[in-house]
Amino acid sequence: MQNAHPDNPSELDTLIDAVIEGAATHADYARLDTLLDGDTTAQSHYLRRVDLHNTLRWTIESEATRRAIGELRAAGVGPDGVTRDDAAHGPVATIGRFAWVVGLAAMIAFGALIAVNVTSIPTPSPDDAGDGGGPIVATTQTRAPTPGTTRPDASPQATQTTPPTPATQPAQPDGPRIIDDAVATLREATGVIITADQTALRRNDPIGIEALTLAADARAVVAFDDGATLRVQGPTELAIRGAHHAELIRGRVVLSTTHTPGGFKLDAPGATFTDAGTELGVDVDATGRLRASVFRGEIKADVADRYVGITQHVTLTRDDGLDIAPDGYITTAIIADAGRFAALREPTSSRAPTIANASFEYPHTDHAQLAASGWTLMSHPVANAVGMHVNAGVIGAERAAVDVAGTTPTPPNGEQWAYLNAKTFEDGRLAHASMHQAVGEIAEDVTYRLSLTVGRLAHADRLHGSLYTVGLYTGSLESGPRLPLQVWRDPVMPPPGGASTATMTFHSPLHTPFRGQTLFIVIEAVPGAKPGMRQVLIDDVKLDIVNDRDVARAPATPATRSPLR
Amino acid sequence: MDLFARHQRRLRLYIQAMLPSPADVDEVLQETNVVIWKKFDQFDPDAPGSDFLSWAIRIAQFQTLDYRRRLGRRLASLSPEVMEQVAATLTREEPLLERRRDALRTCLGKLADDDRELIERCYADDGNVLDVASRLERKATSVYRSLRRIRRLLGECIDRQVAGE
Repeated sequence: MQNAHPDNPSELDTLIDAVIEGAATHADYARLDTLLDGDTTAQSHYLRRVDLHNTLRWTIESEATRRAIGELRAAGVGPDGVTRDDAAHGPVATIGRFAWVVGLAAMIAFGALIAVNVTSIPTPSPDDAGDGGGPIVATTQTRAPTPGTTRPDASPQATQTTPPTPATQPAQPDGPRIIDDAVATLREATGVIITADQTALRRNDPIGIEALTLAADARAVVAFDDGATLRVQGPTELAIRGAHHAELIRGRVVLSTTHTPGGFKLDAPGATFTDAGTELGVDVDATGRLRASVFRGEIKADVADRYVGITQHVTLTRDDGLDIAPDGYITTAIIADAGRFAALREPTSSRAPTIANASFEYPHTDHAQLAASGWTLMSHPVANAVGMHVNAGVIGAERAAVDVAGTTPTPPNGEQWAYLNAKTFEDGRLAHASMHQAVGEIAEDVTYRLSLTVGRLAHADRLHGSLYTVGLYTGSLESGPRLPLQVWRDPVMPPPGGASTATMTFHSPLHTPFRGQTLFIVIEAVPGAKPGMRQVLIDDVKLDIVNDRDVARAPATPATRSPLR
Repeated sequence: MDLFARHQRRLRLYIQAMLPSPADVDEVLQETNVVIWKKFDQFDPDAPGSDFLSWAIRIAQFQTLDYRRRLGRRLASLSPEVMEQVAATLTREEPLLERRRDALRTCLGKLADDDRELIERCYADDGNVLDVASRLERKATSVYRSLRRIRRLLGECIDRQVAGE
């Protein structure tokens, strides 16, 4: 078969172009199937065209790599850690398609070392093997380190005199890995995990700002210094970009974070997740489809619309999900789509509290007196006053926008506050509202950290006595919160028109009799000593389990904000 | 290991011919490599008629079918019957394909500068045509059209090179 004229391609060529460009549809393949079936000439033509495409990629990527190595050599730097100028992935994205193939070869070679027990290779000491099932390694690190990485045996002389080691087997230093810019630790490691410079990682190895590749059956837990963890399931390509920043290029991770100021950022194709005090799963499959599920807390996602070019800002709360199809089609509000992350969930996840709708953005409304989703509003005492409403709800963005008096402070998370009212009648009767949410089971010997932002309207009256309480309660789903574990009265008092954030901790002791019972957060408005109405605004509630180090780092004094809308 | 490394491109070609997206190809190639490694002791290079490439392509074929089955209707691909035929053709054509690969380098050198630059940008930059189009301030469809034209020119040049050997 001859090639058709470039300006007038045959049907077969058109279909082959679609295959090469990754745009072939079911109908295209069906037609291609018909054209190829039993026609060896057409099959040959098809293979030649596809092979040309493959060889082009192979050849040109190889040339680019060779050029980059040549430039590095000319600059006196070793050949490892070569990065392409890839605007999309940044300087640490060294695992492109070519490197992926090379890395794969390295992984297989590395597997060979394990499997065949070559006698010429020194037997690693038990310490080398690690106790997490990590790879056994018996190679000597002879290459220069990745920029920003130092090894005891790396020297400029060695770099200059040693020819570049073919990337056929991952290298690993004999001793512990030492790097200057460690931001995390490989807390668990199973299977083959390699860096961009083909270094195989073991359990407890430090991790810097670098790319990681996990083979198909590999598992890893990357623990960041701020307490965030990334549980990773191979096959996955991942880049650690900073102490609070990672990028998932392909594969599956579950991110658990603590209340780090500024949160943790996870980039993925088509979306960026900003996450604080939450647990989130992100999966990017082979077709480029991204699926995310939130297990705990609430996250912000900036979703890039691939066609319109406008970034959408999405808030995902507990049990919420997001799906971005390879064609850019975005689906939000997906419920119960978290099954694929089952193998990656923290074993202690059932202990971790999970707050839904912590920013009170659901439902998005300008009407007051709508309960925020996930929270139960109550009026106290029930029906004590004729015509009394449950005086609580959410204050929406629209209401705040028309608040000409400018009395509503800006909510710290999203566009809505929850509000609770309390009233003292002239005749001495009292009424107030509360809200609560069941957030999980009470665990023993853990420290809970609870934080929230409290706001007040600018025209709020001078306070007489307490305004609100925040408590952790035990109870049951049937009966609601029953017994207070700890209650904080006015843990922070914002100025009129301002907002303040309070952080509190509560230690649930070993052998607590409440272990396994339901844990509740209860927030309550408190009526004043004098007649009148008062209102407290609540936003950005966070609750998680922290270790002692985190508790020590928690802010000792509440932060106060007072920007008015 | 040498066999493995030598046939990576051929395996990729076969899988690429069966599946639509590079991501699918990477996935199946990786799975194929794992299976090849696990089953490597079953391959006897000294057995009569033994051919590593045919054996590896057979594994790639099964892995592609398995991948196709797992993704179900979401994945567009050739039918199992045609996959089988293409696998046989690939094994038969491999020596010719190798000569064509050698000829490609010569033909790349004959491209006009603009064409060569476009090919380098699109293939060296992880094949992201959208990014290249954006940088060149061209429409993606226009870049795709140019790439098709250049690939056809290269194909014709390779045909001539191989015929003239």
